[in-house]
Amino acid sequence: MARQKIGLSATFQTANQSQASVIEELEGRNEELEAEIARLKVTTTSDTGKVELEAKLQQLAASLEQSGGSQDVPLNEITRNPFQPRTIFPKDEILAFANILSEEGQHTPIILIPLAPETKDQLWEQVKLVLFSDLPTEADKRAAWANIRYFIFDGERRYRSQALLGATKIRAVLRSGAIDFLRIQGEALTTTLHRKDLHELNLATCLVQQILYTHPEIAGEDSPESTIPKILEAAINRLNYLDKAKELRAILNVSAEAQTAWLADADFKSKTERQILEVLLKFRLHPGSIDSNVFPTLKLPDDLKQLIQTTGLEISKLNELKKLSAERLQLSEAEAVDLRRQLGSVMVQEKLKLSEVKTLIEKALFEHGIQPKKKKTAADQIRGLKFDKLKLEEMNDVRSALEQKLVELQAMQPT
Amino acid sequence: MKVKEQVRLSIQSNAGGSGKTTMTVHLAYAIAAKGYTVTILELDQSGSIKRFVGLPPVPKERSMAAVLDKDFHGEYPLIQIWTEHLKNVTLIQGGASLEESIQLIISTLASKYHVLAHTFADYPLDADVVIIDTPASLEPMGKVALAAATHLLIPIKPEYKDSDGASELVAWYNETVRELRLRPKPEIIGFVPTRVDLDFGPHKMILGLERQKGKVVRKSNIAEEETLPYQIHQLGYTCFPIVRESSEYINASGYGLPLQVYRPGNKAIQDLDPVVRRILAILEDK
Repeated sequence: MARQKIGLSATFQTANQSQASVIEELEGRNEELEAEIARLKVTTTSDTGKVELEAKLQQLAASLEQSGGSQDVPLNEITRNPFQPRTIFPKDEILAFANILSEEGQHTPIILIPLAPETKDQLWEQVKLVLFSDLPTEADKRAAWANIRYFIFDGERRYRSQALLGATKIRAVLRSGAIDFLRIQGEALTTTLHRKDLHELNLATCLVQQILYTHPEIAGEDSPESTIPKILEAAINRLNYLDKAKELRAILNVSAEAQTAWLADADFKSKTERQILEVLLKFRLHPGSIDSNVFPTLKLPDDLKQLIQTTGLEISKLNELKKLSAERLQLSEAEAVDLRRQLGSVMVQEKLKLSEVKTLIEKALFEHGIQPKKKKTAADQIRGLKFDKLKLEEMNDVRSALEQKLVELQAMQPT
Repeated sequence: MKVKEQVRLSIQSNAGGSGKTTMTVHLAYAIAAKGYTVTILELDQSGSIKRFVGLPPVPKERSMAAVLDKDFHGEYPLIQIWTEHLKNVTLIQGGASLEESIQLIISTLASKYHVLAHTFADYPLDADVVIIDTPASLEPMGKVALAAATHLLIPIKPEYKDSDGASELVAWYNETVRELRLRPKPEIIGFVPTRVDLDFGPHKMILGLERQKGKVVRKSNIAEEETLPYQIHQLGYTCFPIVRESSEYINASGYGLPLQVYRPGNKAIQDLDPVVRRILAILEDK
């Protein structure tokens, strides 16, 4: 036999090569650990997720302290990570924590990300939107930013408590290596978007940041939180007008190149509209759904946004609460806020289901003299049908459908 | 008996006829017989499991197609099987309607390959062990199963074509874990040489095993590195002892029963014991 037999070792070459590349990857494990932490930070709401996150952070802090040692860093050189969308820090918790710190001292160093000067320049446009909200003017914000040398990777609560105690320094370890926050945020978004645990408000904030990250020139005079949703709305309207909106769903799952080609083909008035759609499509998000369900959260009244931050209340329930507007109830703004806050805490504490929330809100509206809408009867629905846009060939169809219904009705009536 | 963490075991191979479904039903019976609750999910559009459990095909709304549907809200259409023998095994059949699910997964669903994983996260299945029987094609159901699984078991028929397949499966597994960012990644419990007939030349060659005086021993004239178990060990995975080909599996399926019930005491079924022990160890360790 001239031909040589191919043995099993040759057969398994593919698998062996694949395994080797996995082992190479494992060597960059610290990096993976950090990416995993970043992902958990963006998405975690469950208790088990928090435990997992905490464990991974301690692992990282220990490994960093071992390699680089810890140091005392002035508080005014530190600020929170503006790309971390979870910002839930109830005040009483910070206070309680400050008490513990003052009695027991700080057990674990916080983890900081050093900012390279060139990174700082690039970040300014984005961070000024979310950081230093307590400072009145842009000049003040810029001055504060000039001092900043670190973002907090982990330990925001310890940092705030330390500040509350009047300390000027905090013990910290430094993460080495460059970090592209928005790239990590973008990756975390890509992998976890379709889980339900990212609140629409967090998603909306992330998306605005991601859009600015990819297309910094969009940042105009106005705040991007209001500009970007408006541009998207215009783009969706245009697509509807061009009769192309229905193609969006199909375009969601094609390659990035095909998406770009489709966008180039669609007739957009502005480059910005196209750019925004491009980012959303990249994340496989339906722009129509972002326009109607996600971006509107940015317009919620501040008290409701706060409620989200502290409780994570679902958007469907918030929309019910939103019905209690000062205008509608003929109350002062303060009274309306008060009412919403009161009912909001009832909803959270009693873990009301959406149907129960609806009843609660209906009751509140009723108490303020607003009658619930009557449900449409079958007769109302028929009266509401509009035939003026029917094409000729559709008319016969409609006529026979109505006749069929009439026959059904007659059959049900006692003779 | 309540385990701490559910084991979701995906039975996968990218070769047809490697005994995935046979493995699925017999493992299910063996684990349930130890008192654990077991649910079998069939992701195979051939729907062949119905033969092994003696059931007629189900309509779409009572099949896995309903679970993978966008409108699924947690009402798993579970059917108890082998009720005369055990009370703790349930099944959701696959079948032809999965063709629609495949279309949905590859073209419409935003969650894509994560669809089953997300469904489990939103609506946990009340079972100690979930066994997922997959079709031979890895796309898309293999990925759907992998993303939802905690563990993976790979039956492999010791033949050249199937060995190629197993090698590619490992590469596919690594790639898919990376692509779908499965963390923690599903653990490969091991490979099981199945349908083994040691009177058949190629099986002897590939496994490097032969029968002497009724005992299975190493075949001395074959270089160890040219054998399937060696190659699997080299990859860092377990290669379980062989599971012999037996006509009794086929006979049992004719009655819709697992071999354990059809022929209690039949030796062939003991071949599965090491795999069962491994799964029980995972359940009890956690």
